[in-house]
This record gives sequence, C-alpha cells and structure tokens, in this order.
Amino acid sequence: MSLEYVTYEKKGKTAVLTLNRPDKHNALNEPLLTDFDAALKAAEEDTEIGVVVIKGAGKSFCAGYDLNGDETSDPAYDWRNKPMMHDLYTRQARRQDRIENLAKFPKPTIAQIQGQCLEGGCSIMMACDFAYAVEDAIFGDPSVRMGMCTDLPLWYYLIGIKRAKELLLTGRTIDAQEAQRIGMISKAVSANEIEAEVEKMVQVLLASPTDSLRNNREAFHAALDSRGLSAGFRFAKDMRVFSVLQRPGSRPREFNFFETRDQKGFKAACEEMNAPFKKIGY
Amino acid sequence: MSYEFIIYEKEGKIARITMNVPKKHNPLGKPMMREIVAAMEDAAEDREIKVVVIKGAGKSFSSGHDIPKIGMDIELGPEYAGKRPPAKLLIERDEWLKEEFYQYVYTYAKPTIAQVHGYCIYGGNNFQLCCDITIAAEDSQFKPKGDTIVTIASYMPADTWSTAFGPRHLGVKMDGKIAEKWGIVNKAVPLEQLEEEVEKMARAVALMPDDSLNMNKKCLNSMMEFDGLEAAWNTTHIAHAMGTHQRIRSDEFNIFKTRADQGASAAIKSRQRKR
Repeated sequence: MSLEYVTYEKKGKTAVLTLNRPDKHNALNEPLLTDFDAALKAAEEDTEIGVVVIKGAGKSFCAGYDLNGDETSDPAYDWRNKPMMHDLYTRQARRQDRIENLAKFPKPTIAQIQGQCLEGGCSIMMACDFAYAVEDAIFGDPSVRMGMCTDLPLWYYLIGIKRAKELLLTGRTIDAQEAQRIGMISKAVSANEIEAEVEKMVQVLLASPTDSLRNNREAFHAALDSRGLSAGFRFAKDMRVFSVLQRPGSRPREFNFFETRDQKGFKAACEEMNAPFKKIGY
Repeated sequence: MSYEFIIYEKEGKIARITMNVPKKHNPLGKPMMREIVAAMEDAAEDREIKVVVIKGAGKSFSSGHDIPKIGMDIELGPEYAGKRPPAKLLIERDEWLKEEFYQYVYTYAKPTIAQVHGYCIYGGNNFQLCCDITIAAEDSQFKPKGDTIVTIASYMPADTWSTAFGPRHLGVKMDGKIAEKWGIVNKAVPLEQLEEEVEKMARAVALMPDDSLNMNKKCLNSMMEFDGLEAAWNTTHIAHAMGTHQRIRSDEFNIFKTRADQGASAAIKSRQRKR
C-alpha cells in the first residue's frame, strides 16, 4: 500500500512500518497519524502478517507531536488559539485510543529506535511489546517542561512510580543504556547490531504458534486492565486536556514556550527552555 | 512556629525538613510526624516554595516507628503496657499513620525529594517511599544490617509500589546500590556526593512550571490508585495487626523474648549475630 508519511513494507510475515517525515524527526501530525492508522490496520487485517516492526526514517525514531508552529502542527494544541474543550477532548481521545490500541494490538510489536524517541514517540515505543535502541538514542517527555501533563499511564507500569516521577517531574531525557537498566526498553545495542537484534526477535516470534502468542499476550493485557490501565488511559487523557487548556507558561516568571517560539522559532524556543536545566546537568 | 523534633528551613524555592533526633536515628513517633506535617503545610502554602527536601540529622535518615516497642505500642495507654493490644486499636493506629502521615506525604501537592543516608528502615523506608524522588547514599541500609529475619508483616503497601516482585525482597540485604537496582530509590551515590546530588535534583524540579509538577504528580499518583493502592493499604493494616499474634517456636530466634530479657539493642544485635 502506498502512503505518504508512513512506509508500509511486507517482508514475508513481517510488516515493517516506517514513520516517514525525516526532515522533522518524524514529528507526529494529523496526516502522519492518519497514515499510521491505515498501516496498522493493514498489518492487523493481513492474515499472513505475524509480527509488526515500527521504525523511523532518518536520524530519529520520533520527536513527538508536531509543535513547530507552522501549518503542519495541530492548531487545537496551540495555546494561542484558545481551543474548545470539546475539540481537545475529541482529538486527545483519538491520540489516546491509538496508543491504547497499539498497547493491546493483536499481533506482537517491536519498536526499532535511533536518535530522538520523545513524548508521543516515546509513547509509541512504550506501547510496543519490545523495543531495541541504538545506544545514543534519547528517551523522555520534554513536553512536561512546557507545562503539559503526560497522557501516558505506561510510565508507571513499565518503570515504576519512583523513576516515572523523576522523569516527569524534571523532564530529563535518558540514553538507551539507562532506559534498558530501568526497564523502559528491551535492549541497547550498537548501530550496526540493531537490525540483526530486531530480526532475531522477529524470528523468535514467528517461530511461536499464533494462538500461543495471542493467548499469552491477551492474558497480560487483561491483567493490566484489571490493574487499572484502561482507567489510567482515560484519566491521563483528561489530565492532558486540562494541562493544555490551562495555558501554562502564561504565568509571571514562567517560561512561555509558545510565545518564545513565535518570536524566535521552534529550535530557539527548545534551546531556551532547556538551557537552565542543562546548566545543572539535567 | 518552633519545632522540637525537626529543623525546618526555606531557601529560595526549596524547603528542607530535617528529622532531628539523631541520637536515636530519628525515630518517627507521633510528635515528630506531626511536626513534619506542620512544616509541609507551611511549605504548601508558601507560593515561593516549589519543592520539599526531607532528610535526617546525624548518622541516619530514620529508624522508623520506635523499634524498641515492636509488638506493643505505648501510645495505646499504660493499661496496655506489656499486653497484646486488641485488633481494633492496632488497626486504628495504622489508620492514623495512613491518613495523618503517609497519605498526607504521598498526596502532597508539591514534589518531595528524600535524601537518604545511614538507616532508612521500617517506617523510615515507608516515609521515603511516599516521597516522589529518593537519592540515597550507596551504603545506606534499607533493612537493619545483617537482618534477614522477618518480624511483623510490613505495614507498608508502599512496599508494593516499587516491589512488584512481592516477597522476593524478604531476607535480601538492601543497601543503596541494591535499592537503586530494584527501583526503590532513584539513585545511589557515594555519601560525600549525596548533598550535592539532591541539591541538583531539587533545583531541576524547581525550574519546572508549577502546573506541570502538580498535574504530572497527580496523574502518576492516580495510576497507583487505579492499580489498587487504597485497597492495599487496608490489607496491610490487617496483616500488620496480625503480627502481634505471631508465635515463636522454642527452636526459633525470639526477638521479643530477647528484648524483654536483654533490652532492645541487644535484641537487634543478637539477631544480626545469628547470621
């Protein structure tokens, strides 16, 4: 199938989905997400496909939701535009559902990470069963430094409350070694090993009986739901909407990301936001 | 307000609470806990303060709720001294701990950072688990040194927060490095770097937007609630209350008898030597 922002390849029994906006570090916007949904649906419905691999074209896996400020970003998430709550709920519900459905996808999923794996990109990765990353990949949610609340309950379930709080209350990013150590990803590997590492796991999964994989994975999903994961997605959606409606950064003495971006550009705004943290090693 | 059991300081955006009964390794009795809460309330209302650091004076963070009195509780009144208190009163005591202290700390609106060194055991460990982020000295002890013997069922559902591995931690030596590995603390550093690491962390948190801190903490705490935290508190009250009904066989080490015969330090020391 031919899509503009996600490449869909069928390699034997593997569907390989590659996010394809490399000039923007595969930042997520509506056109890309629409293609992503179509690609996932195709992988789900093709009975010959046993495993799904998700990658990013170019230097990074995915830098998160597009906040560039040009027409490719989502206006509802732009505080200048005073969004309708109704609009935000609708949009956020779609984002949440996408991640939740990926976390409960009927076939096993593997994320292959290089470069930036941030915010929405980190969500996609955490929703996959397995994640392999090149050693210098970086993970985290810098949008908390802009004033936003996370929309992902999986932080708690994957890495535990202490580490989840540390990362979300500082906006710190971590490398693949630390991500592996704390259980956020399966394994950190060198750039020339990663293809082979992913392929190894693909073969393991394809060698397992379909019903067995499904049975086991559904058991985990059911257990997590009984531990509140569904409620977690629901609540995190509300918190995210609330945090956007709050228009953070508009308070005195607080850094205003959007204002700075409009005056100086996206890159400069990110640098200015991170500078005081960088100064103390965060 | 003047404090008898703690030192309370504010500096810029950071408030610091130091538990201050160093001779006894800062045990968490009711007066100490009340002062901690009072100081935290002040920090909550002070618009300047963004983050609260909690630490212990002297050699340790905290030895927990009065160890010499394990199995009994003099706060129940002198008529109960030496006697096994009824379950109702034990459970009430635990509910006080939960509502007036532990839940106050863990639902606190502003971020908390525990700075741990030395002993951080029993109630002390519960306390640091209720804080958002913990940095510990590598040689801090989360179980009494050498202790691999379990006594009263741990009060603390907080244990269940970071120990999805359940009873596997029982009897395992737990210093700062091991605690870091298991996710019970965020980071373990050499003791001489502890102060500086906590300072850096506090400053990073203080740079964050107010709403972000408030909302992300609330969001993550809610995940624990959805995961059954409130129910877990209640189940551990029962387990804890049952602890007074433990019987020790004649061929087993009996900390209660040793404490009665030789005093608390001897009991704790001899428990260690048994290993």
